[in-house]
Amino acid sequence: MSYWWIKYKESIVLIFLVALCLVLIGSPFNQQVQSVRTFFYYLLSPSQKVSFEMLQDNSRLAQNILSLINLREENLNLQEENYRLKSEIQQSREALAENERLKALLAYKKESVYYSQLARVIGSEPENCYTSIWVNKGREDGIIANMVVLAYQRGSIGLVGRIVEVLPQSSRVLLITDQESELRVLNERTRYEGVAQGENYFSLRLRYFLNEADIKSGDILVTSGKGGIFPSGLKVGKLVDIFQEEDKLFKGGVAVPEINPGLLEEVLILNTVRK
Amino acid sequence: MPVIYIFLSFLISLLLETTLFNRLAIYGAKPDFVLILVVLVAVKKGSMTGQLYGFIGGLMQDGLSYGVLGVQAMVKTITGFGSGYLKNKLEENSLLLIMILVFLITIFSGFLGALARAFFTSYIFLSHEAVRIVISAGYNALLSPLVALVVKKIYPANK
Repeated sequence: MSYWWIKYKESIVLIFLVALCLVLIGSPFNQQVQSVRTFFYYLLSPSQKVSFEMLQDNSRLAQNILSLINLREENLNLQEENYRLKSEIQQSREALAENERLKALLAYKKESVYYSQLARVIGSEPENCYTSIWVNKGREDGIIANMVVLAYQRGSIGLVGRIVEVLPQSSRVLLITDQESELRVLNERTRYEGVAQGENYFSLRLRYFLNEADIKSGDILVTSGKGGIFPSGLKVGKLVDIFQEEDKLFKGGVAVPEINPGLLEEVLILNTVRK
Repeated sequence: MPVIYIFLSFLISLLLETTLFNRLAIYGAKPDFVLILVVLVAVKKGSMTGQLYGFIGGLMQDGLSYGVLGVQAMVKTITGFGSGYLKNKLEENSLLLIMILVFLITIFSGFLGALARAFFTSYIFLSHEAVRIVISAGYNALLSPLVALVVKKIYPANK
């Protein structure tokens, strides 16, 4: 036994670890596996919030340090003053941009028939930022699974995704750009219906548009309201490409999402309970 | 003691990957510090250490990911095991070699992950996924000298 162990211990451990991984992969999403995730979320969630706030306050800290190193002593005060002023201008610009986004979201919030609340994006998936994000509102704020998430970008409000996991103070949003995400969409102009699926990138794959459907590049896609999660009429994206599916039964296409999840800072979480 | 340092490095890496690195994402690709750490520790300490750290680091990534639990752990375990075979075969101070190695291993690891996801889930491999893997490999290669310094501090060369 010891001879085999000494000679092949690395391979034995590899086989054991890979088998363990396969067990994890194959296991149904039971409470024990879920608790491993929850443990990591709890571990990182507060630090994500802290680091997010640090980033908000000190986004140019590295530049600051670099420029300070290069300062000549006699220009120190002047340059510091100069930098401070520039930084203030930059901060004002950012505040203005943020103000614009928040105003738009608040205006939508007032007009909307749904209860809603603003949340900040505090993190995203480690591997790919087009799959899911974390927001700083959770169970304690009344967030529940399947609430709809919207955001404001480039002058319009569009669909971001839906809440899939809720912790006491933060929640995970499954983005519509995630490959696991599918939703029914309508062509806003002609009302023809199809299905939009994420591609883990800043694009959506469209399927199941009828062959006779009148759709063209540039058409706006909105949620159809069918499926029970997304209310109707929310902007999803813009059609950029249309083609015949291989089975010849349907038309397919590609759309660019209205909201780029990689650039999100604030979102609006809609409660589908009507006012 | 190195175990604690590596564990802390994993935590810091994951924190960076889920926050700061969002601003660096190109085509959805971000640097994968955990992978670089696993590769460089494996090259330094061998297959056993590499695969154990790979398993722990991958499991932590899985924990933060909405994907299937165990895929990253498996990919990084195999990557750590394989990288360990390069122990004593790589000139520690040759940054270019380290960068090339990390670039190639990231590509291998990316495709292995995609293969595993395709096998175990409804995941479909799309062409821009390949682009994302290559960009991520480039990021990892560029950052590998920095991580190599950290690994050198954690595991100083034996006199």
